[in-house]
Amino acid sequence: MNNKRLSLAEEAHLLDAQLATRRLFLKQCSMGLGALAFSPLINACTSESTGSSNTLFDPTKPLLPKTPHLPGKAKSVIYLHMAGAPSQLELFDYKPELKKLDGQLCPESLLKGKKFAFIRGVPKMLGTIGEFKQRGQSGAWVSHYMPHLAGVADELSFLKAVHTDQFNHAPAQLLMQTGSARLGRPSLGSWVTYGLGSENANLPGFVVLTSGGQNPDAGKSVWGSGFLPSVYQGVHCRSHGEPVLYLDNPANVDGNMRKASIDAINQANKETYKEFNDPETLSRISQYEMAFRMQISAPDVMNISDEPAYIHEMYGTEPGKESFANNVLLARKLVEKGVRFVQLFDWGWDVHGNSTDTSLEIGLVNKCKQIDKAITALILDLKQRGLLEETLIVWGSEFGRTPMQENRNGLEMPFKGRDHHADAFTIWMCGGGTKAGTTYGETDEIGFYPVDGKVSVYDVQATILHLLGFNHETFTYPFQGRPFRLTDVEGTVIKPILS
Amino acid sequence: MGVLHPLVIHFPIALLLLAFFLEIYGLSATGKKYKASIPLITFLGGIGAVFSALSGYFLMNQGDYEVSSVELHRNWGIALAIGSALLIVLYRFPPKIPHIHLLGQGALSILVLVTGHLGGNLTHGEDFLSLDKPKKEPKQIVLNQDALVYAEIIAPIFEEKCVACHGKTKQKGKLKLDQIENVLKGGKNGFYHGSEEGKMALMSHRMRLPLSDKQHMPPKGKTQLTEREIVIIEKWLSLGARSKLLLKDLQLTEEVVSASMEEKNMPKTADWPLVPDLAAVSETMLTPLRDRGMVVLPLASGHPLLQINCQSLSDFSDKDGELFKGLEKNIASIRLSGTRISDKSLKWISGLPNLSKLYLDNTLITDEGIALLKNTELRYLNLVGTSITEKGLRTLSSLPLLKSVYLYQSEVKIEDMAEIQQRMPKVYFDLGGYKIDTLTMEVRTEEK
Ligand code: HEC
Repeated sequence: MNNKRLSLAEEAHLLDAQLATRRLFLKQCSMGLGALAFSPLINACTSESTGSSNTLFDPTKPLLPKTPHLPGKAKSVIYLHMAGAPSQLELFDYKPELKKLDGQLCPESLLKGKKFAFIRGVPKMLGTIGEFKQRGQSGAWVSHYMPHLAGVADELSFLKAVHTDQFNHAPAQLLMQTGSARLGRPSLGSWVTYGLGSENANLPGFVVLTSGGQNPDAGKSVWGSGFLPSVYQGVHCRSHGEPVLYLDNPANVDGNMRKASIDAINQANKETYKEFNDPETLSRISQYEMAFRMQISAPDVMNISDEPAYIHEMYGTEPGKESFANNVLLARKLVEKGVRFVQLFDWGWDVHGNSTDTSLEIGLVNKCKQIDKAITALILDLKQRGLLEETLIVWGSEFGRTPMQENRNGLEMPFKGRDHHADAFTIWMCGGGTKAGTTYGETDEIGFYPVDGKVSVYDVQATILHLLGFNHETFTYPFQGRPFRLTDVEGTVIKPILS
Repeated sequence: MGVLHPLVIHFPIALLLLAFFLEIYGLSATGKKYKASIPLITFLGGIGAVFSALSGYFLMNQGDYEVSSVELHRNWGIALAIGSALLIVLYRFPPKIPHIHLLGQGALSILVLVTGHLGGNLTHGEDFLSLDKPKKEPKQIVLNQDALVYAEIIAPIFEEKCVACHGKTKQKGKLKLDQIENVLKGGKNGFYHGSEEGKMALMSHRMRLPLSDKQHMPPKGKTQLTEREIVIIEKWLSLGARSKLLLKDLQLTEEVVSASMEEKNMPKTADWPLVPDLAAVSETMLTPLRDRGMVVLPLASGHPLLQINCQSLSDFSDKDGELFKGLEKNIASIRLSGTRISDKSLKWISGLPNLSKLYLDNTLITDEGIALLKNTELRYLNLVGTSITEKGLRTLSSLPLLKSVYLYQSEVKIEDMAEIQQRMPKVYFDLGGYKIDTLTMEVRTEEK
């Protein structure tokens, strides 16, 4: 109980301790010769030397609304990440040839030099069990797993040949969301809030909503701010209970007292800033102030129960529960109120076929049921409000699934399932300046490798930034002596899906 | 051998400076014990210096660098190699002069630093150490059709993307692109490429090679030419690459010209009006709006057109229209969603010449107000949750650029839409009220 919240005194003590250790550290450094070599390194890590002219970061008003390089079509993004990786071969990437090969041993040539997460030896091919049809005027392939989404296929632009170079969840999620498979880089949402600020001073610019019972495998780093100032990290909100943890007043503390204590803390922080000039201190002050304003605004925006009944019916929402549908409706409300980036993670898509929940026959059907109607509702709801034009929806995952049936430990699996596959998978985007009703990219006859329109994770990121008005090559942040960008040295905007 | 130069040089730099440092440290009591290692370090550093000088000599003779620009670096490098050899001898046969090794190492360190710096200038450019480098603004194409193609457009492109390797200091492939005469001369393979009839400028050929091709220019990893730049250079080369050619002589297509607009932060699509002569408003003029709580942003950084968001201001009313005096031409988008404005506000709104996007959702406006908009350049109109009827919609038929109108929860009836759609075939009307049927597996989207 005690460790849930720090008392003021404890917190001050902690801070003091941190400062003291830092001072000691510097003293020791400067005594030794190491200081000679070390001091420019230290300087490079603080924003003193790297900052100013080419950062967009104003520590006193870190979330001030800003404009990108070019007039962007999208003003906000709703990113739907299906953590675990759904099977593109069951949902969108139709491979009739694969059906014919069902049950046959996989040819050696496909396995040569390949590494899989679980497949061992020679696996069998697994025909798709999705019933595919071409939908709408665009003729996009969508299977019976997504009956509702199939009805709005003409609104979507599919990327059918995305590839990544990571075949384990955590690194692949990091690569997708931060541009690097290793920890420490800012997430896409952080970059966007760093570049655009927040249109609504009472709400964070970057909100994260999770469902499916677990956080993504890579943990909170997938919405972390990396080396960007910490104000830009995603604020994890919940669709049931308190929307933001620790936002409400503790027992026996009223608004005035809370305000007074925040003022006192901020005063102390201002003093600290005067002494040490660490811009993080300023960010901290503005975070306290934002949290105080959110006390008033958040409960209202975060509450979906005041939406009319027909909206609930449309989305399939049940207020008070933790569900993907609730998060989707909440995402619409947040975007309407000016939040720039809403990141949804839904856990439970890792269809290996080693249990009912991870089977293509049952587990995947259930997962699709949880998202299909809600996403369709989101698209149509944004559309009728005139907001789809300026809201980019991205649906995707960290990688795809193999055309072979998984044979974990060389054994037959109890259910149909597929292993992780990095070489080809499907992502779709909708609204926000994408060209509705397009399909770009194609995989080979069994969906193993891209044969046309191959795009990388970086290309997807570059495209999202482009739609928001950023040139991904010049959108940088100086850190450790060099400018960093989300796409590092890669990435080309995928022009064929732009409107 | 020459390629080793940039690698090898780091050994003498590190080792000789270390030797000097240890000589100084050796003056103190604690540093004495390291003195024994100095001759060995100097020896290794000296060998490195000699190798560096040799490899540098080969690199120079490969012809990528102009001799005059390398000369100074070469001379210092030779001096360094000789100096380090001498010092090795001084360690082997120490003369009886106090601190002779320390002095020798000091002199050598100066040689190392100067040589290294001169070399650095060659590879990274003269100004690589100066901190306040002039910020490289992305070169913008002059839209003026009377612009000189080479001097005003192509020379800056070469300067930005080629001269680092094809300029005064380096001439990769014996090609210089710093002056028009040198461009026409070409490199070691001349100006032209291919057989007599399929003749084209070698440069066009190399620019068009796929990026993965080793011969592609600029090489992979360097800042690439944009498609527009390639088209302009190609066209200019094919017309004889004369210095007097004007932009209009190239007879470029609309597309290329509008692509150049994009670089000037102007959208090429018709989402926003083109306003080449409009000046941006000063920040001070925007302060009253911001103080009132509006979010005011240019469409893009440096763009003269503004987007204004009043959405969060529940007390925003008709009289706030005053605040926009003097900004009329600059307003491209205004969001009044949920504010307390009425038809009166549409008077000042309809006087905004560049207004393209207008959000009036959930306000008290009526058909009468909408009728005032008939002479605007609106592209997007949001009327969600208003009491607009088909009468008001009809008045919009004179809007030439209108693309989409949102009418969810308005008073417009589906029965009237067929006729209205016929009047305005290019406009997308969305009445909303979508229902998603859960029972059937197939989705049906119905309009209200
Ligand atoms: C990073 C250095 C670099 C940059 C930048 C660069 N080049 Fe080159 N270029 C080379 C090298 C090295 C060669 C010679 C090797 C070869 O033939 O591939 C070369 C050769 C050439 C040649 C052939 C010369 C001949 O006669 O064989 C042409 C033409 C050329 N470059 C044009 C360009 C143009 C135009 C640009 C700018 C848009 C450019 N290069 C930018 C390194 C560069």
